[in-house]
Amino acid sequence: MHYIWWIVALLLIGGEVIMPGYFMLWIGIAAAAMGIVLFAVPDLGPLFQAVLFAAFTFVSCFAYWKFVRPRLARVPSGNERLNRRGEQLIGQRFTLCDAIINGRGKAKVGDGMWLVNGPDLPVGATVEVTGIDGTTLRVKAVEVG
Amino acid sequence: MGSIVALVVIVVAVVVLAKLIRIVPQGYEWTVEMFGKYTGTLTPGLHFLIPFVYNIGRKMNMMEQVLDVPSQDVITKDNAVVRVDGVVFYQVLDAAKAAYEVANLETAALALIMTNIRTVLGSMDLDESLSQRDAINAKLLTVIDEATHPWGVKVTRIEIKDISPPRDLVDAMARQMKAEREKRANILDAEGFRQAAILKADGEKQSAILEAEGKKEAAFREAEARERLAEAEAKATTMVSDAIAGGDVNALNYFVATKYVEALVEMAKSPNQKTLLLPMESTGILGSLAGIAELAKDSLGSQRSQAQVAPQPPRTPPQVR
Repeated sequence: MHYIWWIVALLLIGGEVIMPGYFMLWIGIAAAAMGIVLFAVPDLGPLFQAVLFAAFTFVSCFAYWKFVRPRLARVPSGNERLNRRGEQLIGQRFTLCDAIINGRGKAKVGDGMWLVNGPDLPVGATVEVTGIDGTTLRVKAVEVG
Repeated sequence: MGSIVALVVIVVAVVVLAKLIRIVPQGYEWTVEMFGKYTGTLTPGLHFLIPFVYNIGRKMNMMEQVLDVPSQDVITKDNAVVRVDGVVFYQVLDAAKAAYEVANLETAALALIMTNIRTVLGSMDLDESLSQRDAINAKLLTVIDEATHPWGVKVTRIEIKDISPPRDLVDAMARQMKAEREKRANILDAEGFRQAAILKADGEKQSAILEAEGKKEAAFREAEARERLAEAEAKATTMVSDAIAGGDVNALNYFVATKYVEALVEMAKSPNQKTLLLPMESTGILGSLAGIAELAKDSLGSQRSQAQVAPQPPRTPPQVR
């Protein structure tokens, strides 16, 4: 009976290679574990096998989440800011085209304008982007020269 | 019976696992809802969500997107109807706001842009709207960027693609342009003629002046010549009269007579003159002969008076009458 689980395990892991989805992998691992269990204890009822299989599935997944994933330390790839238009602007300097009054103004970025949040400053002042809230840039004043 | 339940257990386990593992593709952000309430946003990559409790809400596209603004008829400030269409580039910067602050992002943005195009073009003359696309784009961008700000959307660019006035207006504009050119051509033509006429008249004036000056000069010279001639004649006369005063009047008679006879000889010699007409009084000539006789008599008389012994001169030829 145990070889059925082996076949299922190989099929699932092979399927994961063909269609990556981090989904069949853990089921495959669970199936492989079932194969080992059945090899040791050949006569288990089908219901018990199923429950055990489900348990193994979640255990393998949890084990990855708990032990393996933290070790795959996320190397900052430099592409972290991909699709994050605002964060790409952090650290850059821009000129105000609308004075910051009551903490809100506008800065010229490229050929467009961004709303900025920061200390009150007159038109033409240079500001540096320190962060972003939604579509508003957080800025601080910088002394030019 | 046991095997059916076993099958169900396996299926449920697989489905739950599928719900547990979430992979967000690059360029998207998924919002997470806990019992229907927004709790967070999933960034691209692998995520584990506790099934039943957490659920995926909206899958937001975080890439810059292009939206075609359908063409619409707009009435400009000077009551011309133009068809306008455009294109909008926008990007979702805040997935949660874009998902929950506005019900239908694209429809809302389009409605906003279309109404604002009407507003901006409605405040402009047709000529202005045709020539100041940049100004229109900038104005639209300012208004719409501000308006979409609460939706977590950044409108990066709005471009008016085409502004097309109705057919008859286009024709009129073409005619106006042509007329303008023709006007310029005509003015240039007329100016050329004027210039040419002025130059011609100037030339004629110059030539007339020069001619008159020449005549004046010539007249002066002529007068001078005549003066000189008169002077010379006067001088000659003076000299002759002086000579006469110093000598005898008969010397004069001699000259005149000589000239007279010479002239007669010339006339007679004339080859084509068979008939000799003597317009002058023949007796005048004969008179001159008499004058010669007188001359001779005089000189003889004076000789006789000087020397009484001088022989009688031959008699003068008898006078022919």
